[in-house]
Amino acid sequence: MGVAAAVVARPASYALACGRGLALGLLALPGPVVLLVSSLVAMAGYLPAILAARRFTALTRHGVARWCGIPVPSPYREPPEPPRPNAQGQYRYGNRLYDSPRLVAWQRRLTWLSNDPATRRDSVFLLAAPVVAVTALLPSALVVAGIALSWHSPWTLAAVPAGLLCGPPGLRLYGRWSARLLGPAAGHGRASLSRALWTRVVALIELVAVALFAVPGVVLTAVVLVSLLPGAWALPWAQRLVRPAVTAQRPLVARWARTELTEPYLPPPDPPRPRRDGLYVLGRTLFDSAAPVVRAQRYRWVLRDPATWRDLVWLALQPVTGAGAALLVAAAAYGAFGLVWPWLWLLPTQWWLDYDPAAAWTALGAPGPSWWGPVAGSVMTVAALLLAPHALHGYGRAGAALLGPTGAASLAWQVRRLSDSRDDATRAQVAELRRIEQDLHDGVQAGLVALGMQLDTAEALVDNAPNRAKELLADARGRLAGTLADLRTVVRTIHPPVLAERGLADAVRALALDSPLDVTVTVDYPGRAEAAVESAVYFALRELLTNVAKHSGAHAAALDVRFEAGLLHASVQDAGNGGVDPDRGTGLNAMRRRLAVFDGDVTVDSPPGGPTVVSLCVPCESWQDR
Amino acid sequence: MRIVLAEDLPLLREGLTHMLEARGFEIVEAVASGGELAAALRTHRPDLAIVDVRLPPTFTDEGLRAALAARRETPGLPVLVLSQHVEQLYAHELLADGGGAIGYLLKDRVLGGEQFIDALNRVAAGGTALDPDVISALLSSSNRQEPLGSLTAREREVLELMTEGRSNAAIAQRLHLSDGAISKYTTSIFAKLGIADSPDDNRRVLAVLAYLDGNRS
Repeated sequence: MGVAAAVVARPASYALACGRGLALGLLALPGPVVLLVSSLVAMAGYLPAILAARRFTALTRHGVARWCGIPVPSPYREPPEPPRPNAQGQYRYGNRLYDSPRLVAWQRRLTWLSNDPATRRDSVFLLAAPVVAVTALLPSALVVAGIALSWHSPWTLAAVPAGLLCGPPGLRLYGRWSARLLGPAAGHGRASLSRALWTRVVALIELVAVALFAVPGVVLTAVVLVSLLPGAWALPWAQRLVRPAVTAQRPLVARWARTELTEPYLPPPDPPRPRRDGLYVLGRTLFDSAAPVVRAQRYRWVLRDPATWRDLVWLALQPVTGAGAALLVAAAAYGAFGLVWPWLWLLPTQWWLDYDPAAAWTALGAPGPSWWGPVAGSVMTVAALLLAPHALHGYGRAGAALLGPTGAASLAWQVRRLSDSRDDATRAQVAELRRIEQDLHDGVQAGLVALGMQLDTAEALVDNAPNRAKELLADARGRLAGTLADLRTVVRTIHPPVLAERGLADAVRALALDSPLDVTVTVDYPGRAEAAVESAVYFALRELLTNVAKHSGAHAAALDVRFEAGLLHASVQDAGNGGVDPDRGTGLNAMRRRLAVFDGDVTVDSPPGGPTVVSLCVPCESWQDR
Repeated sequence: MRIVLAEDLPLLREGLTHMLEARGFEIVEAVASGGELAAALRTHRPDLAIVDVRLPPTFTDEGLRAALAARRETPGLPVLVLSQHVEQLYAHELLADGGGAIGYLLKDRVLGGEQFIDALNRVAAGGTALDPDVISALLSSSNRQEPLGSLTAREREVLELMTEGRSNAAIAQRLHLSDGAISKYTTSIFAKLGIADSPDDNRRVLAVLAYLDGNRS
């Protein structure tokens, strides 16, 4: 009664609420279209489309703040800074350098937009707004319909006060919902339901992609089958199309299967080597050039690779899985938009629109009363949403089973890697021995020969010119000292004595003491490891420190050596210029190859402007010896 | 002077024994391993121990550790450590107890004749004898520090010789200068580095070493 009195007392404010609800509701209706268009345009590469969609949601944010009194702060993250060039005028994104800032700026904006949770929440809002906006639209719809239909039957006028009465709460309800989605994300607990809904909607969207894979699947299956026709010899050529396509899909499949997938293909054959007479042999036939042998080798390579046939099975399966995915998506869409949607709009629009909300249900030829339609629709949509992630996971599992490497292929790669690193090790060892031989030959041996000659001369002179002989002997002693110093230098390059005497921890401390830099050392490494590993890590660290002193421009460095869970970690950090590109210098690559012998690895993190951290990691065993 | 010698290579052990005996030193025992060294030091209580860093059975830093252990047992026991290579790290450990009577030289210096004998006498008398290689590495790694940079070339030369453990008279002789000139240089060096000068040669050296060591990091 009190509320009715309030309506009579202040009809204007109620009417205003209805009008505002109408405005916000009308603003909500084009939401899905805006989302679709902006997503498609953004996928085509034009990112400002997302910003345009943001401007569209900003209208609702503004309206809610003004008319519902709920302030909605902007939830978006700060845009990225424009890329800055390094000393060479290049721009960095991830581990790549670019000559032009444009691509880097674009990638940064893409990461910015796609990582921002507000983008996701905006999408949910745009998608759901037309449904939720019913609460905002209903009051004005009642008022308008009540007045419009009053010539037909005066009783409909009763809908006018009802509509007015619903105005403020309807507006408030919609306002609160919008504010929650359009404002900054609240704590985690509340959003769990919407997140679960969102992951399922995403799964449905990804199932659309699965359905679309049917097209390349059919085409590529046809290509492979044609290439297998007798006499075509086109299988390697077809694989050049198939393998990149399947490789591009592999990360998606791995994500859906929640596992990791590595390349399954066998290593390519080594290029053929000519015989002594310059001819190439294949079976019992000799060829003048390598080309036919290469062709035959490649053919045999792809033909014998089980991954070729597993790829083919996978491609041929695509239409089947695609049809399943399409069925699920169609069920969700038809249930929501065909069967339930018209009923939602029946209430506000039935006064002036004449349509049958059950049309989609009866068109199916389904039995039962017409209200079974929305019930069946809800069930279909909910079931499809519940099933979607599982369907996706199942698709991923099937893909992982077919697209992953077989045991034989993994083994073949492992053999290839081991034989590469063995070759590297042998080569490095030979080069090292050659260098030592050269150093001894030019330094110590030559020094000793000269010394011998001096002693010879001194012996000849000792009777007739004793003073001259004395001078020569003093000179010989100086030369001996010099030769010994040479020898010490060579020994240090073979195996530093302090490493032999004290192990890696103290050798690293000695390294820090001898460096021209201010080096802070942290060692958490109580025992000893295999001498070969210690030596490799020591020389790597020494090289890294030298690099810091030479190139980084820094005056200080931090050395960290620790042993954790069967891994020897060592890192060198400096606050220098940064921008170290591990792929450009030969030093870091050589270091990586030397450590690869021990299954170790080198990682470089060096953003332009520093700091630079180069980390080594070698699996090994450690023991206490004291 | 009674000396215990620890050196595992027979050739060098014999050579050193002959050389020192020829110059009037008494080698009371020449041993070949770390364990024997500890026993010999305990029995003979020599005026000086000459120890090779690398000794059996481990062939690592056995000699160095035996020398450090003996000095913990008998504080101020004069020890001259010889090695094929010199490390700042080891010098730091030898000097850590601050007691003096420590020498750390490359084996090459044995060829230096009088200078080597001088170093022996210095250590036996409670002074220090550090290898020029250690000193130059020590100075170059604390090179960037401001006070050191302000030394003149001559002052730096004097500082290097002083840090090796030489007395003013020895430095003067080496640089062909008068004792007075050297005193003037040392006063100026100590003023620039902000260390209190001491009339005692040995304490002076330890102060400079502590200064250089503390200044590095």
